[in-house]
Amino acid sequence: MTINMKNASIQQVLDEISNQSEYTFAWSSKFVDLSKRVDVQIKKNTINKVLDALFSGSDVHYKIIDKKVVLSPATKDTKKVLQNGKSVHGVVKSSEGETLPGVNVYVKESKKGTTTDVNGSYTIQVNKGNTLVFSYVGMQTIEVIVGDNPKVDVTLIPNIAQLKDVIVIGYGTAKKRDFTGSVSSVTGDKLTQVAAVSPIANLQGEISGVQIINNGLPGSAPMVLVRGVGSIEASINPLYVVDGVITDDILNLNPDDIVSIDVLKDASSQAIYGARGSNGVIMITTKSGQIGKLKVRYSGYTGFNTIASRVKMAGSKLYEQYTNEALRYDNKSPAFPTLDSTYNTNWLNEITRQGTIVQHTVTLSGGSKDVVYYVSLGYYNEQGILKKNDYNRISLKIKNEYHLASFLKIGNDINLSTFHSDNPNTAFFNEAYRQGPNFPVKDSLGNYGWSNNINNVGNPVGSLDYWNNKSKGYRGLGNFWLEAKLVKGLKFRSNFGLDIGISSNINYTPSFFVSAPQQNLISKLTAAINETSHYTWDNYFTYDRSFSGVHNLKIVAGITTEQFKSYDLSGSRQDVPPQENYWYLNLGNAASATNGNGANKWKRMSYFTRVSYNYKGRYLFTGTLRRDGSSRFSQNHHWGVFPAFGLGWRISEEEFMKSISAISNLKLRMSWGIVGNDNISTNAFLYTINTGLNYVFNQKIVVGSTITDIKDTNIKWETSNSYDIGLDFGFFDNQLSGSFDYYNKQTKNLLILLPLPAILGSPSYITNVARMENKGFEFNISWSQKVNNAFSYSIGANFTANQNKVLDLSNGLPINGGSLDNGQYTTRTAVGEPVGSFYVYKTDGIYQNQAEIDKSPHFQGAKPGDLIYVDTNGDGLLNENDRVFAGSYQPKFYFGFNFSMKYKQFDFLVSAFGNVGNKVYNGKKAQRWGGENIEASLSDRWTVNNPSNTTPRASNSVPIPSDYYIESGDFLRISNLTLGYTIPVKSKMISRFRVYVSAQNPITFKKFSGFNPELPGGIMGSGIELNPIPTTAKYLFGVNLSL
Amino acid sequence: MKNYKIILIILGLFLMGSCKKDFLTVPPEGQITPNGYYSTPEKATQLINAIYNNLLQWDESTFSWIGISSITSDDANKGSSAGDTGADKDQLDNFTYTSTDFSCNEVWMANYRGIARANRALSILPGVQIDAKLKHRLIGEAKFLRAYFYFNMVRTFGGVPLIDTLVDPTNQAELKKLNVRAPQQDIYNLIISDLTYAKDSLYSRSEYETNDLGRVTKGSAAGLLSKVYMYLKDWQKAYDLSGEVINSGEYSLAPNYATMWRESGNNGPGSLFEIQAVGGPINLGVQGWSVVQGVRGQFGWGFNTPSKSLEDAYEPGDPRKAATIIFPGDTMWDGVVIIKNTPNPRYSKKAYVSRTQETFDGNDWESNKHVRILRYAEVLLIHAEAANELGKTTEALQSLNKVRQRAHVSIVFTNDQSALRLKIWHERRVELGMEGDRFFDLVRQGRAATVLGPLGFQSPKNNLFPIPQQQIDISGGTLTQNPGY
Repeated sequence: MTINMKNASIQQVLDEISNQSEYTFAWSSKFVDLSKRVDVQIKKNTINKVLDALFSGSDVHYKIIDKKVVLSPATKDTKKVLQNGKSVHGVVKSSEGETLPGVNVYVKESKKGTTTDVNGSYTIQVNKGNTLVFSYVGMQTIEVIVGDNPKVDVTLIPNIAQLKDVIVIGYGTAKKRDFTGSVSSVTGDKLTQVAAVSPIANLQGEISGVQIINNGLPGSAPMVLVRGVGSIEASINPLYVVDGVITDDILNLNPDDIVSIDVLKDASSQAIYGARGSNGVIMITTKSGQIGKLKVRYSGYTGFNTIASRVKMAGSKLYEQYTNEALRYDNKSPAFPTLDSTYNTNWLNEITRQGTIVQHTVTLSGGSKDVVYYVSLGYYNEQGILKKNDYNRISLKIKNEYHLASFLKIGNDINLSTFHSDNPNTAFFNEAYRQGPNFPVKDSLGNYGWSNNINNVGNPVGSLDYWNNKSKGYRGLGNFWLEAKLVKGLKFRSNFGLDIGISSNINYTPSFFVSAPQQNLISKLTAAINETSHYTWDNYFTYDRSFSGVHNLKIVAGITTEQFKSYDLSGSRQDVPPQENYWYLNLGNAASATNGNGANKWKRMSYFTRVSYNYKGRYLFTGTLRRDGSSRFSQNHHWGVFPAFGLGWRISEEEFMKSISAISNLKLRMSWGIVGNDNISTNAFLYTINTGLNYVFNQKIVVGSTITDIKDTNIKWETSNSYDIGLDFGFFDNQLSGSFDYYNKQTKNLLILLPLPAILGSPSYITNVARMENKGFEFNISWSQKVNNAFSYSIGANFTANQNKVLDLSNGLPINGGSLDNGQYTTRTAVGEPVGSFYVYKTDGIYQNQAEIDKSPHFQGAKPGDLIYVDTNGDGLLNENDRVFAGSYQPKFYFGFNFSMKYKQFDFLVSAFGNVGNKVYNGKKAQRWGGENIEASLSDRWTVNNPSNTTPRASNSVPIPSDYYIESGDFLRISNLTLGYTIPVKSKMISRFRVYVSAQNPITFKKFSGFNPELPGGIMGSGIELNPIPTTAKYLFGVNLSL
Repeated sequence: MKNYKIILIILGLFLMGSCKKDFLTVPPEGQITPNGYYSTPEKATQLINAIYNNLLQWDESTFSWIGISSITSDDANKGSSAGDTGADKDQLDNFTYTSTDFSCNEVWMANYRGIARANRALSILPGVQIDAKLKHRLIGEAKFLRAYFYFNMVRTFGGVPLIDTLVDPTNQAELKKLNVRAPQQDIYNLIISDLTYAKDSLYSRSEYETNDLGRVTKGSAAGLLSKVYMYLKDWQKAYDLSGEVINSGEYSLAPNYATMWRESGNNGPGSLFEIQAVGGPINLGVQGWSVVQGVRGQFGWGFNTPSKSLEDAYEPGDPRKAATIIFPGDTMWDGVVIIKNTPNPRYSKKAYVSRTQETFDGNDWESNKHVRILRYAEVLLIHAEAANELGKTTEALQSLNKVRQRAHVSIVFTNDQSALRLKIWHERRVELGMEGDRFFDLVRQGRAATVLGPLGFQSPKNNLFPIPQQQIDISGGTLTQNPGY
């Protein structure tokens, strides 16, 4: 940390130290005077050096226990031990008056100690003048100098500060060191280092085992994969739990309000969430107030968005030459007899811009022993790189805790937010890619230009101008809880989480004419409203006791009920006027009115229990059992049982290890468990009537209905059976720390759309027949070092290798996917291969002459200059059976890396993440219809005079899916470069004032020739760049201010 | 004391949380389960309407079916621009398609979907308590439509799995047994039995209420049955049934050939079976039908363009040429001028939708265009062909010339059976041009090899289309392929 204060009281300095670290201070003001004024100038030092500097020459002595620093007066004669020891006794109570058992009481000078008994009393032998130290988890440590009085009673005050080694694990917390499961956490500054709407974007590259794929458009939620793709038809989204409340949508959370994110990665940690846990559980903890005076903080940034990299497209001359050439091969006359176009329109530039970003957050927090509060107001506004794409959000968080009595606390956490967005249509990126450059955006008369029938692509600027799609909404996510202490060690907690929201959307297409393929005769307005309400109600008991100081037992048991309802109402009308203030259905033609109204409802109920036991903090055991019921399955299949257990051995706590001081932490752990995934549509098991099958008689529409879908009435959970073995290590007082994990996750009863014989009248139905496996290992390591007073740094890296494989697809029939929207498919999910593997024709160079063509199997109409497709099965025919598997969008391994350093007043951070071994499909290049634009690299195409063996001839034929379009998806993205400066401020008001500049995604090193190697999509069709959304880079300037 | 109260309250809360036994049984919101739903005449009719709805689907009536029934023939070419294959329309045009052909799979799946809807209606209707006459009519409509779907299948693929009841999807053994190709004749027998039932139970056109205009009639069933017999070369039955339609007095030839195709000509005097549509303000029509064939660069994609061979087939002065073919530069009946800068020399006029003089609200995908499946003129030609084959030359000439007179072309006199046969076949071509009959006519007439050989037709392989490989794979091999594929 860096402290630069002049003429500040020691108290103020200690406050600042608290701000910059997780350390808190405890002292007895009777014995320690902190009003003395000092000048402190320390840069990037450890706490020890800071305190040394602070208290050198003074009569204050400090001792660090866990993350608490205890101050006491230095006794003049600490080395002298008085001869006459005596017995001192007393009672230790909490500030609420409750007696506290298990409090550590020891003599500072001799380190001999005891603990308080069940009544909170202790007896100890100590010499007069020695110091008795009282310490207890969650309380501020107190030291008392023994005087004449043989009775020393002490009151301990709770310490509500978040400790870095505590993780949130579902219905409670655990110390990381006592935990047997696999959990990774991100805390502190790391949570706000990326400017984004979604807090999840900050996890990219930070956590091993978690892969986040983000296309960067404002208001879009990233795709999150925890330990590989876990499902095919059911949702692959992990479960989000925000302060104990389960939710699916965290876009409303302001990253500034989050204090930590813990990701539960293995079955034993996920099992407490049973049927929801198999895709991973992301626990988000938001900030709380603390007892103390009012703290005001402001943080904000502003900056702009820009396209980070582009693909070079052909200029007009090349485009016209190419088009003419392609037509010539088809014996058609050239479209552009003279190559004299004066235009060179860069369509991507025309539809994109530099967008601005602004974020402000103001927080007020504080508390007394009766009430603790945290209030935060945030504002976020981002203009996307695609013109017209805007997103803004205002959020208000009010989080309070009320201590009603010594045994009763209640609290609320209310998050209100509202958003407005102008939604993008990513198809415009596709249009910009495909449209030729040889005509202007608008002609001299102001009409939109068009390609004059050379191709069927619209004018992208016209499309963008006539696109109007806006959403807005309100959301309230509230958590109301009650916690009561019943008898010794037994607590009861009731948590009621409510998530309600309403959002509306309008889509307006005006009447316009650009060209024959790009026109709309009559304007149309569609308006829709969606209302959702979701509650979860947890009631559970926690029993937490230590026996004889060596057996530590914690039991949690409880019930959860959950209900979700959504309601949709929509309508449309034609002939609505074009001005925005007229976009209401009432102003449209009533005869054209349509409407729709539907709803969805489901419920869940669960019983759960978890037992955690450790012996002296050395041998750890956790057992979990959860019984989940879900309304999404038929009555016979409502319930599932999900057990798990974990074992751990803190080798570093063994006596024989204590002498090896280099090893500060060594823990071996293993876990096993079964978790489920029930996230399928409601009514998947029920036959329902399809009422939208209308027809026309006498020129009037009549209703038709019948049963069309085939349903599996016995549909059930997907279950994941997994085990994990891990080793956590720490050396040199945890300067070097990290962990290894090996995991193996088998998912069975996977839901897939099983193809059906056509005679059933339906092409497929959803049923549980597939099996899939994800296995791999994770490694993360971090190193931090203080080189000298001015300079310290830390490095962290994580690395995950995951292998996904489909094990069984019922009758083994593969499923094709990855459609290119032109009748072609590019992926196949098959037994023995990863889900959504690319499955295409193999190519082998280019035909140079007709003789070569005649010698080998080829497609009808092949000409010299065409790609050579390989007859892989050697049957003399070139057909679908010659397709081969050609890699997967799932990487062989992915990694993240970060480096941060502090030098005097400056702080610097760089982080990066990347993938290796995944493939991407250049879909937009492979989807070309005749007359469309081409990339500049095609100037090197095959012609009679340029017998290329890598780039085929100019052609208007629709390309065939082949490995020519498959490219390496390897990339390394520098995700964040931040340089900050803490301004030394003299004011008493301001405790911290930091400014910084930051560049996000400034550089991506990639092999892919397309725009962006991060390509989220459907499970069976990701990694395909169809709508080329360029990577967005952001450049920001920000401020952190604490008062 | 205080503590105990709190504990009791808390336990109370706890017990509240543990809810009733049926907490997890949630009736579906916004969706109906079938129990007891189909119990009134209106709801029972909905079951039948849903079968008609299959006719509007893209994969049933549009691109794939146009490809298979028309682009393959010498009446039409692929169309569109040179490099635009339309996925497989170039292969259909050149007879280079294989068992993985896209359109074959769509046609297979779409027709079985319609058949399944018919089978479901037929399984539910007998148990519904409604007026007997209405019930019979509804069953007749279901059977007619089932027969129509099977007629498409048998002409395209030959023998196919014969499914005339609901299939249990969970019974793997039964599925395997059923997913087997029945002999071609068995399929025809089902078609005949379905159409015969329909003929008896359907109302005649004049008997229907106005609001039912567009439903299939007694005449539709008799007419389609006569066509089926023509394909089977059962001339006596074809003659009898076409005669039934002619003698019913329900149908007559519309006076003007050209205006028959316009919105004003919908459900005209000669219409036996046409797919209905409405072009606004709320659209419902045959998906994409006019867009796929619309003038490229002006109205649509430009596929299924009339060929030079068809253009040359019309006799000089035959107005049906102008009513069937659009030439670039033409001025249409509504005053619209067709652009000249378009890649194809001809477009189908029967697919033309007027945006100015017909109901049009911008949605060209589901336009007002009715797709004519069976017309009185064809029944007359079936009658002529059957009569000729039976030696009833006078009657044959009579029927043939009625069609020719409406078209304002000279009537035919010949007595020679073979010459007359050729003339009738020629008349079918120019009367029913671009209506999807040419390819199947050539095959049933035995002329496919000679006429289509130059276009790539291989005999006998291309007499039938290949069973979709995807279906063979899903069947696990119980479906067998047609020879040559």
